[in-house]
Amino acid sequence: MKTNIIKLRLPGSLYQRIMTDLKRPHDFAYERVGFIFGVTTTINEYTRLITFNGYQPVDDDDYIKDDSVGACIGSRAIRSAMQRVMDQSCSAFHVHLHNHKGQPKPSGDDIAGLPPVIDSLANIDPDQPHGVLILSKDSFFSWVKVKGEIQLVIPEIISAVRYPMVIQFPSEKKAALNKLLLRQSFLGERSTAIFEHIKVGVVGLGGGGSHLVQQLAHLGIKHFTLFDFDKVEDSNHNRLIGAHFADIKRKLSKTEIARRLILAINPKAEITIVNARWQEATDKLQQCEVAFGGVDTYEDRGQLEAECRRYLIPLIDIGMDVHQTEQGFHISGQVILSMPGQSCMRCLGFINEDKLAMEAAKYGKVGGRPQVVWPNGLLASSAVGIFTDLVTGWSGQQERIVYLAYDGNSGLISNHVRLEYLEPDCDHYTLEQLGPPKFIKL
Amino acid sequence: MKFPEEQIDALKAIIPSVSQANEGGYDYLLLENLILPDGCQPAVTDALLCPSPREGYSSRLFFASQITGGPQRNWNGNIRALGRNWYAVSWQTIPGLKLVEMLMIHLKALRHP
Repeated sequence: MKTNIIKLRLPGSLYQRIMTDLKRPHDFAYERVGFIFGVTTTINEYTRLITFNGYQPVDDDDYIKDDSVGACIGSRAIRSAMQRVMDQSCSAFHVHLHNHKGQPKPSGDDIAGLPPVIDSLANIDPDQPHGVLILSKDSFFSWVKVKGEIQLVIPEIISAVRYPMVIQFPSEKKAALNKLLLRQSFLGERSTAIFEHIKVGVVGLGGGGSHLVQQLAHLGIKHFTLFDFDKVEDSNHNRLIGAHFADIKRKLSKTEIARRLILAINPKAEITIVNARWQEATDKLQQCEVAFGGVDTYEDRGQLEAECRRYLIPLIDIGMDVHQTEQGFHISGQVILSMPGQSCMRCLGFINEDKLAMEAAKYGKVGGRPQVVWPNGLLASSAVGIFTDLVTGWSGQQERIVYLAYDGNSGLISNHVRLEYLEPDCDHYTLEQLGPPKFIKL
Repeated sequence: MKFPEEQIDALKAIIPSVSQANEGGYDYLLLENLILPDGCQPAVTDALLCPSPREGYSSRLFFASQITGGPQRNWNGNIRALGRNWYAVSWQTIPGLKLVEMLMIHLKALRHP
């Protein structure tokens, strides 16, 4: 078992800033260099997540003319990064760009010159992981120095959290031709490997979540983390995909039904199950690269979004409702991609204090809310489509903001009208709030 | 959000460790080692005060665990915020209170009449 698992996550805005800066030509240096800073979350005994929240370019004047290397920087630049580590007790990574496509590899100069830079940073705050990040046009390489380890550690995953995501699993090998996934090869050369390595969380395994796991398993997702505290009941049977009639009598947990469904499609799937509220196992959620939310309440959605934003996890929320009006019943639903750094569910007007207040006033009186199978299936399908594009980028769409509105009576699903009136930035969640919460003493 | 200094000072006279954080657009005050009314179990706990409207309440006080030993109450708040799980009684306060007044009214929920 691997005992030092490191995950690196960069917010999309920071990634863009780094790329833009590193691509600028310098008067004499062949490449540019910078430092990125981040906070470390110890998820469990073996796993650490570093979320980056700051970038410091090396000043033009701090480059030293040396034709034998791509870039040589003076001690002032390194000292400045060390100072920030000392002031903020944060992780620091030396960062530079290899301007080509595909996974970058450290050059001979990198192998010789960069470990001492890491050591300098580690000398200031050895408790924090420090390292090197090499970017290419569409990939990453990294070494991380972890306290107590002699060897530099290669992270399990490095990702830029944007639309589409830039994801690199350093252990990834070119996937062998998989006949089972042959018809979806247009999703990209790396799509099979991405589906095989990425960790996906599904919170809520009712009408929506059960459709989600079924489709994700067909897509080729291998690593699932499933959250639901509930057991199947008679009233679930009209929409819970994978539930057998006998399961009701056996009071099978919804997670167990989902596991059986996934394994029937992909016997090699690795499934972590949480038979409790997701709030009781946030360490499991934090390890997921993308999460799906199929939860029942606005309150729970808001909390799940807050947790996902803190750890840079894109959250794809789905939900449906049936309303009774004077004209009869009306089915509506939504698919929202809550992308860290972009509009949140509050910015989108999907969650607000009025809705939360109404929901709280009804607490305990909700009873059996009407639900049916087909809107859940349609919303889940749309969500899986968004996920697929998010992690593979197959459609070529960039920086997409997703808020789809479903009208179940007409059967139409379309962009929500609110997308036309959005403010560009979200001020409910900021980069400063990444990682474990920081309280300001008053 | 910046709270009035005199209100923070008044709060700190009751509970010395007060710190602030924001999440999801809500400002919170973390009150560490808050002493609860007589008979409560635990007697001392961390609490999180949300002084602005939330879920239809003018303010809410969340505790690190459900408190026993007080009167029977509707513990309808069970949230994840700022990296921890918190529990709150359904207890309304009027708008416009100072922080200390808010805290005292919330603590009444745990006091036997």
